[in-house]
Amino acid sequence: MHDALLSIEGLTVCYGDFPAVSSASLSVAAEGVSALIGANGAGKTTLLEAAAGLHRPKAGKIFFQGEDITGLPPEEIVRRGLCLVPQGGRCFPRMSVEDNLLMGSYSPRGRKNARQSLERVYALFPALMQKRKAPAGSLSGGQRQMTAIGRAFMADPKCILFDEISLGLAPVVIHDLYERIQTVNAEEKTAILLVEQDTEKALVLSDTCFVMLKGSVTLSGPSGKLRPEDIRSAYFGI
Amino acid sequence: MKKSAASKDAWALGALPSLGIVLGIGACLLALGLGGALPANGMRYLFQIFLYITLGEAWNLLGGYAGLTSLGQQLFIGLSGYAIAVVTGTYRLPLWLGVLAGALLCALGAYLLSFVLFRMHGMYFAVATWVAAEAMSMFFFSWKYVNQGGGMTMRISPYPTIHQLYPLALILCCLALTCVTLLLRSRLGLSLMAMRDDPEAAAAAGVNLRKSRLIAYLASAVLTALAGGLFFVNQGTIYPDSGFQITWTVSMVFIVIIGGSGTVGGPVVGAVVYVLLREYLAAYPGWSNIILGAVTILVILFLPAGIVGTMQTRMKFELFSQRRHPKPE
Repeated sequence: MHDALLSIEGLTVCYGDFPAVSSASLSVAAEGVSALIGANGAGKTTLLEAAAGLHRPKAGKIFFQGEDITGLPPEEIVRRGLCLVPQGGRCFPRMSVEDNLLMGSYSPRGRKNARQSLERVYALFPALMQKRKAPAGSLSGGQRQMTAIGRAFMADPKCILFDEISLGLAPVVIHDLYERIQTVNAEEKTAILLVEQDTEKALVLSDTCFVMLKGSVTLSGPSGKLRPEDIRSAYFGI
Repeated sequence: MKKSAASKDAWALGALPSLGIVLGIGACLLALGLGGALPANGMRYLFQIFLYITLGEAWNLLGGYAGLTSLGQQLFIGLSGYAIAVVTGTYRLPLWLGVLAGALLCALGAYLLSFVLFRMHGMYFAVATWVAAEAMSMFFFSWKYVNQGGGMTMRISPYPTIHQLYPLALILCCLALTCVTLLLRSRLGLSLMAMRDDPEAAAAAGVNLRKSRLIAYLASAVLTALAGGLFFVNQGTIYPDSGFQITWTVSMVFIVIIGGSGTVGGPVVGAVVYVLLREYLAAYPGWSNIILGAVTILVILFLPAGIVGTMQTRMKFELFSQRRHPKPE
C-alpha cells in the first residue's frame, strides 16, 4: 500500500463545516507524472495544500516515502522533499527574482546545493537569468510562473505538486513551461502531480490521471487507458 | 563545491563595506564626543538622533521587512523605562542592571504577547499591539508599586550627564545598524521578506512562520527597550503617560516612511529629518504636528519609497544592501 511515493488515504479537509475534500484517496508513483483534473470547486487545490501541510486534515492519512506526514508543519514536509507550487505563481513581489529563487532553498534539504540548483534553474529558464535583479512583481505572468517553478526546483524535491500553472497564460507559454517540467521529470526523476484545467492536455502529459468531483476522487487509472465517457461521467457526475 | 564556498563568502563579505562605513563614522563621532570637540547642545541633538535611528530600525524590521505593522512599540519603551526606575529608584541598584532588566523584561513580554498577537494579521495585529500598550499604561496608572500616575524618578549617583549618555546612545545605534544589517542578510532576513510579500507561499517554501516572526519581534522589542531606557535615563523621570504614549510609535512610523520603509538606510535619514524638524518646529506649538503630518503626506504622495528608497532606485546604489547578488560566473 505504501510503496507509492505519495499516498493520500481517505483525506477529509473542511473549511469550517464545509468539507472541501471528503475521503479522497490517490497515490503518486515515484518518478512518474500524475494529473489531477476536476471541475471548479472539486477540491483539487485544497487537496494539494493539505498534502503540503497548509491545511490540517479532519480525517485521513497522508504518507510520503512510506512515512506518515499527516498534520506535520509545512516546513517539515518541504524538508522531506515534497514541494508545492501554489496556484497563480505566488512570488514575493518586492524581492528580486534571485532572492525569490533562493527562498526555494530555504529548507535545509535544498541549502547544500543552492548554488548548483540556482545555475540549473537559470539554465532551464534563461529568461530569469536576465531578470535576476528585477523585483518579481515587475515580471510577466509567465516569468512569474517560471520563478515559482524554479523556486520549487531549488528545494531539491522528490515530488512537486503543481497547482494550475497554466492559469491565465498564453498557450505558447504553457507549452514551454510543460516542456521544462517534463525535462526535469526525465532528468532528475522528480515525481510530479499536476492540477490542470485542460483535460486533454493533462491526459497527454501524464502517466496516471485522477478525476475529482465534489471532494472525492471518482476515477483513477493510466492516462492512456481511461475511456473518454468514463472521464466525462467522473468529471460531471452524470 | 569550492566555487560555491567562495561565493558564499562573498555574500557575507558584501555587508562589510556598509558596516565599515557605519562603524568608521561611529568611531569618529565617538572620538569627537569623548574628546570634548562637540558642544553639549550638539551632543543632545545627536543623542536624540541615535536613539530615534535605533527605534526606527526596530520598527522597520517589523513593519518594513517582516510585514508586522505594530502600533504598540511604546509598550517596550514604557516597560524598559519603568524597569530602570524600579531597579535604580526602589532597589538602589546600578544603572546597567536596570537597563539589562528592562531589555529582559521586554523580551519576555514580547514572547508572551506573541502567543496572542501572532494569531492576528494586518490591521488586527496593529490594533492589538496598540491595545496591549494602552492596557499596560492603564495598569501602571493604578499600580501602587510604581507610584500609580505619580511617576517615578531614576536614582543614579553620580547621575550620568550627556557626556556619558552620548557614547552609550552612539554604541547602541551602531549595534542596532549592525544587528539589523546582519539579520537581514542572513537566511532569516530572506524569510522575513518572503513572509511580508506572501505568507502562504513562504510557508510552502519551508519557512516556519511563527519562528521567523518571533525572532524579528524579539529583536525589535529589545532594541526598542534599550533605546527607550536610555531616553528615560536622560529624562530623569517617567510617567505612565510619557512611557506608554502612542506618540513613540507615531514618530517611528514617521521616521521609517520619510526615510524609506524596507531599507536599512531609511531610518537613519528619517531620524535626522525628524529630530531637526521637531526641534525647529518647537517654536510653533500646535502647528508642529500639522506640519509633520503634511510632510508625511507629501512624502507618501511623491516619494512613496521614501528618501533613501527613491535615491536607491535613481542611483542604482544600495546602502546596507540586504540583497545577495554574486557576480554571474
